[in-house]
Amino acid sequence: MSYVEVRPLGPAARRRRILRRRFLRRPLAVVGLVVALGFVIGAIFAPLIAPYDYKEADFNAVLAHPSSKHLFGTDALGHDIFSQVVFGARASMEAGVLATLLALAVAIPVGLIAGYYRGWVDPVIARLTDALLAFPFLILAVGLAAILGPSLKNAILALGIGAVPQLIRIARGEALALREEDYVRAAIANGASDFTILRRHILPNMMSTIIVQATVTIPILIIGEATLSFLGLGVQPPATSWGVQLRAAQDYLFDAPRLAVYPGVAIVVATLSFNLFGDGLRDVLDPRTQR
Amino acid sequence: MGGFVLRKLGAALIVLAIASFLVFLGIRALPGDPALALGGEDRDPKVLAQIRHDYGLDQPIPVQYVRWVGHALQGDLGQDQRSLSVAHTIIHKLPVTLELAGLSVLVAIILGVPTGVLAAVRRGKPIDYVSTGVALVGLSVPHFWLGLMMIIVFAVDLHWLPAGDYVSISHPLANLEHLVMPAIVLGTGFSAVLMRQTRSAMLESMGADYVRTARAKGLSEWKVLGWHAFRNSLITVTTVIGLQLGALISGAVITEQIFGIAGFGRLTIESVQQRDYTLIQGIVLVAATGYVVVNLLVDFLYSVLNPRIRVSGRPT
Repeated sequence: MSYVEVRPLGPAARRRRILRRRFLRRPLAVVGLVVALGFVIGAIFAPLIAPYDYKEADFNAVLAHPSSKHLFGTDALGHDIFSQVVFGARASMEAGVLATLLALAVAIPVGLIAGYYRGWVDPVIARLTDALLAFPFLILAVGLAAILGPSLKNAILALGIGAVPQLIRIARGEALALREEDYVRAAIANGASDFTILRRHILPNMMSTIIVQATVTIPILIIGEATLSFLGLGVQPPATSWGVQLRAAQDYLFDAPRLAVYPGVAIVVATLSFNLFGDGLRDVLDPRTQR
Repeated sequence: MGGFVLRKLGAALIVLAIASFLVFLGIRALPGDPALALGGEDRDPKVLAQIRHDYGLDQPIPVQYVRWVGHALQGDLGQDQRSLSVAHTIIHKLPVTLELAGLSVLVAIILGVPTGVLAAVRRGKPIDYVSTGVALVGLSVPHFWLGLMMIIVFAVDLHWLPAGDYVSISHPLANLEHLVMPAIVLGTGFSAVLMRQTRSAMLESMGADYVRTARAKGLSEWKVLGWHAFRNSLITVTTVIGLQLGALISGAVITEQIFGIAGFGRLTIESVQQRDYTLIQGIVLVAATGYVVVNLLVDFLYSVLNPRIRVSGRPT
């Protein structure tokens, strides 16, 4: 007689397995995740992937058509466009990911405090958030970028600040709802400190909502960085980003329209992959939206 | 109803007060002395002191704020670098942007609402996947790139439409010809949002008890969907249109820049590039006020459409 040993899984591991299976059943979400990771890895290893340095100019091949030497051709200064697009991913990924993390670092504690303690803090934070939300995102980002001065670092700062109010609202709403849960009441009855309750009960339970929100914020901020750079308020040449490349391409719409195609397609594919991933994640983590 | 209106009005006024104070502080936080900028080449301390006195820059910040708000309430937003009235400049540029925004909303409704309804009714069928997929792509395309691509195709290659510029509405046909591409560019992203919201609102109302009752009464499917389900999902759709106003203004900024339309959005970029702070201050204040006012109107409209809201506040 032989026994098959079945190792029982803990509840957390079982939930993870269920979620993983549910996620893997969504081919588009998986494709989104893979492509998004591809962009992040591509951005990190850009010098290894790009055949040329983004600053390297080949003056013998200005505005060259695509060839085996220059996969996507060259721009007006003889830069290899493929290499430019690969290096351009760096600014976009940095802006999308870092600005989102920055916004979360501000929004989560503020939202937790407002939603958990309520009292006078909550209406004050809520009104302040409303006031910040009254500024259209791009006008806020453009205004901040103008105040701070044009650079990638300041664009990230401006985009991060611009994303904060929306995230505060979400974190606050979650904290407000979770506060009424029985396990939180039980923890209060057990005499747990506020810090313990926030860290062990409320924060972990709001993470799925926050993660979904983060994945949909990243593509918005990727487009935000491209927009700011396109307007000349973000990344400054000779440094490059997809927005900078499109700004330069604008002068050659008649002579070499393909210059405007490649960076734009890169933006669309990158944001689409994050959006697909985010949509799938939302379906998996939040059964309420499953219909 | 009266209490609800007052409560919402009060909240909106508080939000506006905070927003205007933030604008005021933000501009004051800028590096550089405005008196130096106003004085131009003249660096004589006496002249600078006179300028500071004339513009009230020697007063404490709260006093300056109250004076500024007082003037703003009377429609005086100060003078820009070229000594032109900021309020006048903004009022002059605003109709152009409002026309563009109105046309884009129209494009968005025409594209977004029927596809959203169709996707919900044919849920899980190919048409649902296609329209949901197209909407997701629509959300991922930046306005300015779509604008560039449309200029390449329809203006440079096909010569169908002008690549930019704005013609006054007194020449309606030329005006429309110049605004077709910008309105489509600004409207498509919005239509994607609208399509997704319409679809989920329709799905929700199609699962509701009153729709089941309507079916049980033996109403035709057309009547059930059109009269009961769609009418109720319109509540959500109205709100979404109102809430997207901020995104619409953001989109107008970049769309006007691409197509060279001299409207409110272009003015925003110009004011930032010229570092004309009085102008920036006025623009941001007007944008924020517009947003708050529209949201207030949406709240009222929403409460008229859905009486439950009057008691409990808008569910979020």
